[in-house]
Amino acid sequence: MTHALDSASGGKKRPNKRSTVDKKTRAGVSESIDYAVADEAEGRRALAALASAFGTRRDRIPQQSLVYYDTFDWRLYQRGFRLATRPKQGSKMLRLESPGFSLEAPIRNRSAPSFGPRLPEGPLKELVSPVVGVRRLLPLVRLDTRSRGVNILDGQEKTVARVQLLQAGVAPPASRRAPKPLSPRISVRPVRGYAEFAQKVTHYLDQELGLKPAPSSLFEEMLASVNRRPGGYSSKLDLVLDRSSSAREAARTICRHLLETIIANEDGVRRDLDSEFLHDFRVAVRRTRSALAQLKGVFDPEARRTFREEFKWLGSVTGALRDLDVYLLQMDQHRAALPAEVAKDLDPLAVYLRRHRAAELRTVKATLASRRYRRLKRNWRNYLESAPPDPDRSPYAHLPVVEVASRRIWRAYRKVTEQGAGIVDDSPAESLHMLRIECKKLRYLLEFFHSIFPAREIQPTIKSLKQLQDNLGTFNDLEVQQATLKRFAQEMSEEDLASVNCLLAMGRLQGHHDQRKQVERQRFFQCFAEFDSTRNKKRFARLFRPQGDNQS
Amino acid sequence: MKVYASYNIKGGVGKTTAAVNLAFLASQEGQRTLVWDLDPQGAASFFFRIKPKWKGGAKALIRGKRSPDSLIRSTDFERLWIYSAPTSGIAIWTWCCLSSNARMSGLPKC
Repeated sequence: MTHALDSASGGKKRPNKRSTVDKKTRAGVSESIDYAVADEAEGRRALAALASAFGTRRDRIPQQSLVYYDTFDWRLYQRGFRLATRPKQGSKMLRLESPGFSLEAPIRNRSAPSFGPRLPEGPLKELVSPVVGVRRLLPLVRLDTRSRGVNILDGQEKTVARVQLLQAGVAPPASRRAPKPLSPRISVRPVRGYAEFAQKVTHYLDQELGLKPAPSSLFEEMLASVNRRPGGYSSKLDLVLDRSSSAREAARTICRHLLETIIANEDGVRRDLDSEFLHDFRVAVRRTRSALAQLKGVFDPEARRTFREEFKWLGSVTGALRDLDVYLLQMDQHRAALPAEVAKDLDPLAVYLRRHRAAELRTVKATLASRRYRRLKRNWRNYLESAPPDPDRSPYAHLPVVEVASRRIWRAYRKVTEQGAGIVDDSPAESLHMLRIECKKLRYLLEFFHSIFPAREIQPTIKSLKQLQDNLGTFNDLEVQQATLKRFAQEMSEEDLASVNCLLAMGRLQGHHDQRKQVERQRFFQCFAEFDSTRNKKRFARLFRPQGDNQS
Repeated sequence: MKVYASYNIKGGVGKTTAAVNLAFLASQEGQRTLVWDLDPQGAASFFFRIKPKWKGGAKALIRGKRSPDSLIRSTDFERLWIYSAPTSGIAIWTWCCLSSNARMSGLPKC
């Protein structure tokens, strides 16, 4: 071994003796480091040079083909996970990579991975399934690699670092086309407990051979070559608005972003990949409607009226499918709420739900293909891109966004506190429902404009509202479920699907819902009190109260 | 959890050899496997050509200044690691951790 370890703990010596022990163990690299090489020949020359400088052994690495998976909203990527199948080599395997470790699990059935609960049992599933949630795993890209490997050995002939010359090609997952080659790279992988050796190798590649680190990771380069941007979609509304822009500019940015979200989810809805495509689609529609309703005076009145109507239509034609999705997603929970011997009586309900869902899906698909929908998208985009409206007809359009946003938020906030304070023990469920709607309006406004207010101030307001909304939302869900369950029971008996046992089980479910509703109702007073606390009041006033408004 | 023990008072009968080979087979089957080598002879480490670090470090471990994770090293095989702690100080510390639940959190997560 000709190259000494360069000391990472060098430089100033700490007076504390103990810390040097810790530092030594941390010296060296723990993640693999990639170097760019111009072509295969240069890579081979580098490997040969390593072989003459260190003790090495050839490592035969079979050609590999990996298909990477993630959910539409990049849940695995966000969590630092990479999930791939090896479709070609002998037995099919699922491979999970994460900084610091990798796991494999054999796939028993031949099918590609789809939903978390359907993954093969084992530690891999335990890690992946909760991250993926209800979303479907979709194939991202196929990576074919051919690599030459060299293991760096120590005096005992133990492998202490691994070096690979990687030549990879990328293709869309299902295509038969020849993969598109990526530039070759040399990858140095440290071996746990021997980080200092990997550092010697990288030092040699840097200093002696003058190689440059690869500009991006293989994973990133792979996605870039098929034009996919990791983390490129999120259902969260994370817009950064310019504080000094006009209200119209801000509204335009928000609505355009929402329109992009609507369009991005179309394909998943059409192909019925998972329930969240429709959900995100509908949330974007509802946010658009809310923006149109709340930002009065920013859009011109005529356009505002037509678009509100059209988006309302879009929301309502997709509503029935979502209701059925929610019921199907909660079917396991419903079963769990009943005693085991009664739970199976719910099976006809599941049959009924699936049958109706298929019909509703056809309706939604037809809607997405309809002329009315396409015209709505086109007109809306044109409207958002068109010249600013007449100041006489939209008096607030040219005001600074901060002013308009503060005023609207303040108003929505006042409404929530006023209505909430009026709720007592025996208020009708309707009043809780109305309050829920007002909360939602306030929430959307806060989310639209959060970036123009100081984050430290606005985040707590959103959090406090969220708790209240969760409570009201659960209550309302139960209320709606009771109503739909009643409707289902009626329709099922009309369709001769309802056995007496099933109807009885559904009746018990109703009772269970009743109990939970009572609990949520009791909890409401506490949730509202927290939202209506003096601290929160002050916070809202500081952020949004217009000058000259002295009401508390 | 099932526990298998290979034990005998006589030396050189294959206790360590059996344990190391079982660990290898487990890792080949896809299990993430960690071999604990707390034997002052360090024979399990020797099987994997791993030279144990004889120089102390027990003090730092006891004082919590050093993470026991640093004692885990990769073998030449996938999914197979070794916790190599043949010096008496570290071995005693590890046994103490294992026998008292209160200190378990100090041990490496494998």
